[in-house]
Amino acid sequence: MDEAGLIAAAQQGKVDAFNELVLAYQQQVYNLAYRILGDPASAADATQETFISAFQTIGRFRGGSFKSYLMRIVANGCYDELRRRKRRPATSFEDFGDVDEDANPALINGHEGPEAYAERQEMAHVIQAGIKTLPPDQRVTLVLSDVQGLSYQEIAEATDVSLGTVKSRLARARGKLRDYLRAEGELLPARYRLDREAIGDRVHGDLGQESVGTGG
Amino acid sequence: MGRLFARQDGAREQADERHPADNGHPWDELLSAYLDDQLSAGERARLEAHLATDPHLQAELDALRQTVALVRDLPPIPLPRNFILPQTADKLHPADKLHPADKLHPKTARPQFSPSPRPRRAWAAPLLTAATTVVSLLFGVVLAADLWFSSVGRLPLAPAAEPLLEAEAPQPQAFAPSPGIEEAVTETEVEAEAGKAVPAATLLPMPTDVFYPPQPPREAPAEAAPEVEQYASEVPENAEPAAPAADGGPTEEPAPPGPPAAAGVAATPTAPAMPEGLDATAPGIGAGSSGEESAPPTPAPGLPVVEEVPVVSTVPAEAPATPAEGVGGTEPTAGWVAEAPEAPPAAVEEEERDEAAGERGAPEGDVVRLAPIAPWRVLEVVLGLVALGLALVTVWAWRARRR
Repeated sequence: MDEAGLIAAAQQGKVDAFNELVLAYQQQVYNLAYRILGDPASAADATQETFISAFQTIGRFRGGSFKSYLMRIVANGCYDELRRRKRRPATSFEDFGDVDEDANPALINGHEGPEAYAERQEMAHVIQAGIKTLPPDQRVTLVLSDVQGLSYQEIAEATDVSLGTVKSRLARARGKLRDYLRAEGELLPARYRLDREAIGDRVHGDLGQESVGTGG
Repeated sequence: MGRLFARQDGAREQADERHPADNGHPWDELLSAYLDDQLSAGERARLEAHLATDPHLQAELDALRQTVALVRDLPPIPLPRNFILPQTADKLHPADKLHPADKLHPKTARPQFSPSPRPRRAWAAPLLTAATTVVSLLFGVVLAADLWFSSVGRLPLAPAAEPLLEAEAPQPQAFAPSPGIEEAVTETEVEAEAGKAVPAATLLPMPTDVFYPPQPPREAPAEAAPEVEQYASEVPENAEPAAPAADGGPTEEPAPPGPPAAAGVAATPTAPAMPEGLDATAPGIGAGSSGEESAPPTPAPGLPVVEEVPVVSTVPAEAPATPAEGVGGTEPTAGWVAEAPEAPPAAVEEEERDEAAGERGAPEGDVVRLAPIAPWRVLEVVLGLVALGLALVTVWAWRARRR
């Protein structure tokens, strides 16, 4: 059955049909929730709640992208969760579980050795830590865009803001994350610094001149 | 690293003229949009012109691009489990039930995502709290009552016993005249004579019929009648059942008295029985007091003891019932009251009993201790456990809700 058919059936209260949709999207939903919230338990809760909520409100779904519809629910749920944590920081479990969750032997590429895999894991942790430093709206926007691959328009709809707001939030989020990665740069595996070093080397010469120019 | 920071600072110096540093890098919005190909043709042309002449800007763009690439390359997180909904989920289907779908509608200012579980728990936690409170209070009341009564039962038992005797005393007299009441008389007399025995004897007869398997008590009166003292010595054994009545308070005894009370739930039958009994005793006592000197003092102490009063009342009420079966077991009190007035003449006997009662004080205490009272304590334990369980569930509910 195609997605439209499943949605139509789900709109008539058929759980089986809806569960087909769950199976199709749960990885994305969970992934999004995990990247925004940063810990597996909260992500699982948010995912479950997303699907329950989606099922309950699917009657009002009027076509369009079902993925966007789900993303919207997840984003809002995560947003609320983040704000709730802000109110009760003590209940945060953010520091639990990253390592284990990110470690997924199945993701080892055939041509990738254990070391490379370990580097990738470390890289993922640093990035996740950087995402966590972002304020909620920027965090959600960044994850929707760069983890989930939503378009500006989709993000605008999912988060109920204008395209301009999406643009600026995303830019700030990326800029902060870039700065964070720079600050943590020494912690990154060498191969993830290659690019930057190359840029640095290339820019360095210019930079000297530029600095001088600015100074003068 | 130093170089990188230097590079960054350089870029910042360029741009900070126009934008506060807090907003990040001034060019970032353009660069970010550029990466996503979200710039208008004009914007892009201008930016590209800048990039061509500004290596710092180019470096920023590259760094930003790499950052985005790193985020995009984040490995997917393995699912901890499946998130398919249970078949029962369709019962929740009506969207408005838990979640106003409006919240999810794009046009709402700030869509609120309220996961369904939370609303469900929302009412559960307060409700559980209320339930816990009620049960706890109930438990407290019952416990307090038990403690109070048990303490009262031990100390004032002597007085309490006296009232019993006296209350009963009138009965015997009243009944004595009646034909079939001889048994009753014997019982009452026995009670009166045997200080300890009195409560036991009076109480026992009733219980015996309904609840208490041990029938010795019943027979006891007959035997005891002649030999009071002996009986008293013997009584303790028989008295045990009676003792609970004294300790446990009205609930126990009343229950058994009710002929149908077989149900065992003392509470309901007792309640009605008690008031009647009280009334009955009260008048009886009053009558006795008016007629006699000794009578008034004894009843007085007995009355204050709330529980015991009922006991007394019930006892007499039942006592007549058992002996005078023909009189009408259900409403012994009525007959009681009516007969009570006649009691005064028998005052002399009562006086004797009163004396006996005075002696009884000590022995009764023993009887009380022997008593193994069950239902009262069982009720306490059950209430306590329920309260504890509710409290735990409540705590859990609040926690779940807070999550």
